[in-house]
Amino acid sequence: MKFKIGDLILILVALALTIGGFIYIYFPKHYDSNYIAKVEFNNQVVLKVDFLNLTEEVIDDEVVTSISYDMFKQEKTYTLKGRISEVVICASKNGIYVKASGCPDHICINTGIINTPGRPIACIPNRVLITVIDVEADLSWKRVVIVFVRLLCLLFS
Amino acid sequence: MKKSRYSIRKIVVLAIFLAISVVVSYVESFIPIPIPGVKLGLANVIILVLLYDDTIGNAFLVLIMRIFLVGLIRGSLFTPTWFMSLSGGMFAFVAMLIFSRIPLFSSIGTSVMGSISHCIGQIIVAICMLSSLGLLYYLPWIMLLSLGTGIMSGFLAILIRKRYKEIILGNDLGHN
Repeated sequence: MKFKIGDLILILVALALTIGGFIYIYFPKHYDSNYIAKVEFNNQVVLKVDFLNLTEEVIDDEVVTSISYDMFKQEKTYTLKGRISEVVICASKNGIYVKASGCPDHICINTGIINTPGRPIACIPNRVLITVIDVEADLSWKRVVIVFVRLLCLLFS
Repeated sequence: MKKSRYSIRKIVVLAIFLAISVVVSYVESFIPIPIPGVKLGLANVIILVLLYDDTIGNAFLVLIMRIFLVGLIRGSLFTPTWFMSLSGGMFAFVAMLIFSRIPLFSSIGTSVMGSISHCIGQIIVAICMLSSLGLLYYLPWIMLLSLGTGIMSGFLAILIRKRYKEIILGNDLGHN
């Protein structure tokens, strides 16, 4: 009934995997001018925002309904038509975030501002996904395989 | 009269467990946690206790009915969020079933494994829905938190199992 040796091993292994994941995600990242934000709706890229220069490339006019610019805050606001409601996305020099959405959990709003590859903003009810990508090296499945190989190496070293 | 598979005592005990787990998992959805999509997972404690001290079928029954009822109460039945919790629940159940039958692990290890696989199940559904492997980046954050909540619910399960044996199983001997 009490704490057993297997528990300790399990917890240590899980902790090692977690720390390995953190090192992979946060260690080699710099604030880089190559980063742009990619907004996807229903797995299709609808908008690309260069938030450092506040320029954008609209790919699907039907989803991105309006674009406005706030001179005082130096913020650009994009309104998207999501699956269940409108999604309002703001981009500034500091990064990109979701300002308003009609989804029930508000997970996308609570994620906050993002400016580096790593944490994406996901609004699953609206089928909207915002990721920051490196223009030169896009996140691909190869990179994910590398994560797992690195974690395995960490585990057996 | 045809004899039922369950005695009245069994039905009442299972109903109480189901009610506790529904209420707990509804209430804990109001507790704010900084990382999106993470919950305390207190309802898992009930499944854990049933897996150890009751049959596998009863534990599965309570799990499925809890997921349906919570979906009905929150109004999220058959939505993406509900499928995420369904897949998380299934993954956690299978993992806890395997680990609870290995004598090397106590209920703490089992519940840590359960909460980690709950997160993996949720992430898999989210990846399928958004078809983006970028969501894998959430995994370390979620795993760190689920380690904490898993250890906590493991200790809770030990306490509850002690009371469960004293109160419910103990009375059975006297009155059957």
